[in-house]
Amino acid sequence: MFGAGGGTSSYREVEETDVIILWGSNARETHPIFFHHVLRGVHQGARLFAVDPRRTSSAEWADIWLGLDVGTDISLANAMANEIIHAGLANMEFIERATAGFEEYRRTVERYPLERAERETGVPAAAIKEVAHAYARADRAQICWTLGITEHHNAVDNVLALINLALLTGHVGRYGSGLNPLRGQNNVQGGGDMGAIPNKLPGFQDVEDPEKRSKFERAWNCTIPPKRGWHLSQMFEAMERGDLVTLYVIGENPAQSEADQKRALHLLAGLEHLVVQDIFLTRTAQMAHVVLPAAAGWCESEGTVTSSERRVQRVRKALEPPKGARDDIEIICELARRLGHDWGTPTAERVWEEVRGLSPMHTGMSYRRLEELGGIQWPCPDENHPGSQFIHGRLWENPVQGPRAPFSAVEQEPPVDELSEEFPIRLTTGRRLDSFNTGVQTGGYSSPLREGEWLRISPEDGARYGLADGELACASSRRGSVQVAVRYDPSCRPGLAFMTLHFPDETATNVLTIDATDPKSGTAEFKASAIRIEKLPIPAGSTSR
Amino acid sequence: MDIKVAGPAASAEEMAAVDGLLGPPLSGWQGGVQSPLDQRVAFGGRAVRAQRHLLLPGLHAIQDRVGWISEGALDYLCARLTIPPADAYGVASGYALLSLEPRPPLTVHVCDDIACLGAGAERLCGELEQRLGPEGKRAGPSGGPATWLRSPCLGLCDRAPAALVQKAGIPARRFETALTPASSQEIVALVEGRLSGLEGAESVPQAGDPGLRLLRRIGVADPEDLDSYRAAGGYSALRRAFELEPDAVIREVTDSKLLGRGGAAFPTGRKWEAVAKSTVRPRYLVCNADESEPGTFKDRVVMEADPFAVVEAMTIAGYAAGCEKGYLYVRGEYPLARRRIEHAIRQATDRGLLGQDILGRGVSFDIEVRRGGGAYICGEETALFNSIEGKRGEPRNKPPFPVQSGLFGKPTLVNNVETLINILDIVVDGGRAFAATGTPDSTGTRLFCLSGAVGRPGLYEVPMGTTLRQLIDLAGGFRGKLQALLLGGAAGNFVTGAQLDLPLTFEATRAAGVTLGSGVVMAFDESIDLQAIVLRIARFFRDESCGQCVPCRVGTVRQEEALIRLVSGRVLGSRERETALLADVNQAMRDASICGLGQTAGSAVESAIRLGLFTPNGGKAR
Repeated sequence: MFGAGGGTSSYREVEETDVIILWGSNARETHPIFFHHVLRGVHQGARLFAVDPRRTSSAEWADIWLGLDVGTDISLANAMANEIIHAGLANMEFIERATAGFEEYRRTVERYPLERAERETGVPAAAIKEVAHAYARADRAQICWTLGITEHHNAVDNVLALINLALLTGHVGRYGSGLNPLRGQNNVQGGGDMGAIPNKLPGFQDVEDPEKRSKFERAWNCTIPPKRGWHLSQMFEAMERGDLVTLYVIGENPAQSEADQKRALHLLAGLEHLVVQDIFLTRTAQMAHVVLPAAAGWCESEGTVTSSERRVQRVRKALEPPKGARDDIEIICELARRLGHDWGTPTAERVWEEVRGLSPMHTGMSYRRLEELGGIQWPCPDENHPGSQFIHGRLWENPVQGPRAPFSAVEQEPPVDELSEEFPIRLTTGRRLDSFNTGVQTGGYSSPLREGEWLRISPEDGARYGLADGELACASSRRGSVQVAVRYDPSCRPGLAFMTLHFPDETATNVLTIDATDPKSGTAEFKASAIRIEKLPIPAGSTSR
Repeated sequence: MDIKVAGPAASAEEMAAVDGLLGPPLSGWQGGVQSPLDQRVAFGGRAVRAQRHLLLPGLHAIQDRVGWISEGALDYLCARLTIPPADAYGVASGYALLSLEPRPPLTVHVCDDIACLGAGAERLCGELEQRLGPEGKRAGPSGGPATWLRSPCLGLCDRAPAALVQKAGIPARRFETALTPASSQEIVALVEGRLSGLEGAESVPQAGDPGLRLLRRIGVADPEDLDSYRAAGGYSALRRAFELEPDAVIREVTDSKLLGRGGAAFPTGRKWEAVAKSTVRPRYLVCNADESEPGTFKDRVVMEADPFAVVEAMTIAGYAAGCEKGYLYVRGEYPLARRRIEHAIRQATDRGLLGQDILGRGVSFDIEVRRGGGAYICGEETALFNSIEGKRGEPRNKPPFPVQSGLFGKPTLVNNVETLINILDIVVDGGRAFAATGTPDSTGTRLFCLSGAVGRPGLYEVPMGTTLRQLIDLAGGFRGKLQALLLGGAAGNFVTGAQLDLPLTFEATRAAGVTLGSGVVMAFDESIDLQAIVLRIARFFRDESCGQCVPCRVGTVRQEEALIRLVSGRVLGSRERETALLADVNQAMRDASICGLGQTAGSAVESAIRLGLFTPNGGKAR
């Protein structure tokens, strides 16, 4: 945000803050380690608020849970802003000194009185008001979010709506106050930092900025395409058009993780050449023309990872990879050599030294310092710099150095997959504590918590559709149908259903989901599909899984 | 959190019991009726979790109302307090008076502990088995709504054998009462509804003796009347304390050289000063009235017969140490003491002697009574804190000591009942005057609980330094021919007739390798099977070990097993090997247990073996 793609605060600050809003995040299950930091904060006196359509196990810890309708986050955030402004709780001094675009933002949120938000979100106005006041009045406050915010067709707008709240109240750039997207893997942050996104070179340097690009061209002695590449959803569109015929997949399983799975499988099957580099023979790998067995990043190779708090940490090799599997660097360099470019056989540290030379925010992070300091948080511009516990501190300098932080007026937009008489149930998807994504890395291990896939519905809906707890049913969206047993779950209200994507081989949840994607982030709206639930014609009785 | 509730729902009666304590539930998420609003918003979090300390009172409320705690009732209480049921189950199952299995509403707890064992408890249990059926089974008319259970010491040793009767039901119908001395006829009459319980008389044989200090109001002042207490000099100490102000009160306590009477003999003044000097707020005062040491009943008699003294002394302690709130944790087996104390607190509050602005001096102090659930370990101060906080009654590691981090993690002054009532005279007469009684290192008087083979069992007060022989003489001498005395309680030691000239002071007992402990003096004549007594002590510790730390959890079991082998003659190896094993186990418990229970669990057993009281010839069987 404001040009840096990372959470603004450190975990330590979450422990020492006064208010924590978990917005679209069931961190108790999906970020269990981060949630320990949240709990420490709670035990030290922080108030916790949870914004989530379901009353999740995270929400059970909250002082107040706001059970909004799926996809109404902007309405809620704008109404909170409106309330904060009208109650005189906006930090006007900060707004005037450090931000831009407040007037337009104010005019926009003016159209979101509490009554409108209550109507659109379903959450009582009084509860919205209480959370708004608690956030605005807090000395320190954190907003933390995950896929409940970003897996929407208007993901970026959702994020901007939360950033606006922080700007409005001055809850960013100070110790203990910040905005934190929680990353789903130990190195999602690092992947982005290293440039594994379509529009950035390592260190978040814009590929369309000629100055930045030419620096890399000089270092690499080559020409870099001046336009941003495709993100994942655009790649599938390109496959559909026939523009993309060769795909090289590293550590992803799009055959099962993509929304509208039927379409994804069809397009992957139509590729001329599919290469998959992975530590498992995933469903995608099974479709590949060439599979490159890779070493496991966390135990069979050297390198670094970067956590959600921007901390770069060393990873050390503990085991030799199994016969035939090779380190990612080795595979890529060997591939380059066979394509006619000799990059030699660099070590992980040699590659890292190159990163340090080209990415100013990593320049101060030698392997020696990373070891000595137990990891360093970027930005760390030189070898005397201790790293940055929180970022955007410049916004509190007077006068502000560099550009002002912009408000972005955003409007509420409903999910693309509309509810109708034919598809009256809102299905939202997510994750559970016992499994990870498509189960590639967790399915092989047993867990006493793992219960397989269920369509979780409210007991009221179970009664309405004549479905007993545990009964096999048919769930259909505009894109396809799956058979899945229902489970009564009081965390879902009537009209709301929940599934995971953990067991794609047994239950292809993503047959139901919609691939309506955010044009800016490329993320599909996994969180909002419209489905109907039907009793199976043949009495199936209770499944015994 | 992570509350998973799967069992049957609570009954209306169970919910009413919980709601009576906590008020009605605010939402469906807290166990109430689901409303449409519940699907959109839920309140909870810290405000609800902060009520965890109401877990044990909630469990009592259910037990009192229904007679046992069903899965549904436990789930409902957990939903109300946001406690995982498995966690609450772990708490509830640690208390003997709470039942997680169906139990009839009328329960008779029959003491079969050491004092009662010597007074025919086994015969009584045998009769009950014949007339009512086996222990723990439903008994009474047509398999009726009653049962009887064996119990550890009920603190009624001077009137042995003893029983405690509990009848669950709505407030108007329930009762708790002691039966002393208990007979099978009376118990059967109770079970059949022909008798509703009798409280025996308080046993203070010295009552009215002008030389008494701690016991001087007993039998003189009406324990249920504040005016009567004031007429007997009550509340002059609190006035004096307000005149002195906190620092001077603490100075008097320090000058008195009063040592704690709970068993550890720590200088009371030093404890008060440490809490008073703390900068952390709030601070708490805890009166430890969880008297559970077998053979001990002094705190019970004081609370039953002179409850205002305890309340006044707590008020002074709270004032001096700067504590905002006091908790009195009273043993679950002491219903009369609890009622009297609660009544005294109400009267004192009504008269402005507790609450806001006491006596118009701008001082605020409140006392809350907390009721134990039948767990010896909760007499250990840190286990007692955990019990109040709604956690399992398990001791904490020390340090940090309670004066730094005690109840709710705050500085806490914890004193037992006898220690506290000494404060009254110290404040009125001054610390030096108090120290004139007794010996230089053991000042003041001391309460002793005499039971067993003595002429007049009961509670006695004598100056420190009185010899054991003088004390026995005061109680009318021995009945029959003395075999041994148990001094200090089950965690104390056996002594023989050769040690009767031992002066009863901290220093003299320490030098003799024994302890005053909780003031127990229990005499056994030659008719008593001492092996059975020693076995009962070993069983007591095995039962009461909280199981948290290994030396005690394993050691108390090994100790009992070895003793059983010795009694039965089926020894492993030889008798010498068994006694060496006992010594070894005892050493491990003493060295490595984190609390006093494990550290002293082998003391009495070891002394019995050392004195030859536990050899085939030594234990003179009847």
